[in-house]
Amino acid sequence: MRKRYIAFRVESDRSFKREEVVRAIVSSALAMFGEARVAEANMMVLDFDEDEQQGFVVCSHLSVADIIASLSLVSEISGERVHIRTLGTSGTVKALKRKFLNRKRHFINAESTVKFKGKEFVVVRESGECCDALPRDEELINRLKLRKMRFIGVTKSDLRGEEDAADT
Amino acid sequence: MFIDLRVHSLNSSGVDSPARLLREAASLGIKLGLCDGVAYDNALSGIEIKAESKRAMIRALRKSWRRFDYVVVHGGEAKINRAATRDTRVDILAHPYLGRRDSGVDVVVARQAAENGVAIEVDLWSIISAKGIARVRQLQKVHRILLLSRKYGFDIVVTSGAKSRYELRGSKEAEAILTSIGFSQSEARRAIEEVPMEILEKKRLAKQELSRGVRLVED
Repeated sequence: MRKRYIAFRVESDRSFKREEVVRAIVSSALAMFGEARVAEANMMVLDFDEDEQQGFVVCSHLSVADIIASLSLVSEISGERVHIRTLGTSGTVKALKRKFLNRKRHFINAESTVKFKGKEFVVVRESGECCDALPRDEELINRLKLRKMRFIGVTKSDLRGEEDAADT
Repeated sequence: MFIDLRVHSLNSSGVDSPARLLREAASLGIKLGLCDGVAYDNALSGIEIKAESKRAMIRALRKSWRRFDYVVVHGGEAKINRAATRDTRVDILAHPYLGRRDSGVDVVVARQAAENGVAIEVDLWSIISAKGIARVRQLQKVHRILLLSRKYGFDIVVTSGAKSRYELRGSKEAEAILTSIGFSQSEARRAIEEVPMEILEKKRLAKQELSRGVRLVED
C-alpha cells in the first residue's frame, strides 16, 4: 500500500489540545464514511503541534480525497467554530514538512481599543495584516455566539479607516 | 479555482469585514463573490433577494438586477422556488431546500431552471454544519437535486454559504466533499468553477443589452 501524508492546520479563535483535534478528526471520518471505509483508508493522525496548531494524517493513496473531505467537514471542536485547513499532500514525511509545515502563522497578542464603522472594538490578536477583535455591541456579540465564535475578523486597512471600496 | 458566490460579510449577516474575507480567500486560493447587497469596487458583488411573495421578488429584481454582478434569490418556499426559476434575470436560486423536508426542486422547477438558465445552488455549509441524521437528510436533498440536474440539464452551482472566515473552503476541499457525496469529478469541477464563471459572463453580457436580445457590439 502506498501512503500519503496530508498536512493540516487548525484555524480557530482559540488553540486546541492534541486529543481534542484527534478526536474531532476521527469522529468526523467515522460519521461520514463509517468504520469499514476508515479502516480501508488506514487513516491515522500522526502528529499535532499544539504551538503551531498544525499536524498531519497518514492514509492510503486511494483515499486521499475522502480524508480531505473528512478534515474539512469538521465544523467545531469543543463547541468552538474551526476550519481544519488542508495544507497539502505528499508521499513522504520529509517532503511534507519541507513543503507545507514550514510556514508559521504567529499571532501577536495585542490589546488596543479601536473604532471601526463607528463602533468600538478591542483588538485581541493580530497576524500580519489580519486582526481579530472583540466587539462591544450586543448585536455583533449575538451574531458571533450564533456562529460559535469569539472575535470578528478585520484587517489593518479597515482600522486605518480606508473604506472597503463600497460605493453606497 | 473555486469561485464562491455566496459569502456574507459584516455588511449583511456575517462576522468579518469584506477586506478580511478577501484576504482569507486569497490565502485559500479561491475567488469570492460578496453577497451583501452592496456594490463593491474591488470584489465581485451580488445581492440575495429575500422575498415573501412573487410580487415582492419581481419588484426587488427590477430595482437591483443591473447594479450587481449576479443576483441570488433566497429559496426555500415552494412559490419562491418556482417564481425564481421562471425569471431569466435571476442567476442563482439559493438553497431551495431550506426549511423543507424535500429538496425544493421538483420537475417543474427543474424544467424552468434549465430553460431560463437559473442555476440551483447547493451550499457546503448546510452539509458541513449538519450532524447525524440531519446530515443524512441534507445529503438526500442534494442527491435528489443532482439526479434531477442530470435528467433535466439545469446547472448546479456550489457555494460555501459562509458567514465567517472559518466557513470558507478551498478548491480541493470543496471538490473532495462533493466527490465524497456522489458528484463525479467533472460535475464537481463544473459546479465550483465553470458554472460560476458562466453566470458572471452571462450577466456581464445581459447588462450590455439595450433591450431584450439587443446588444451594442463594439469593434
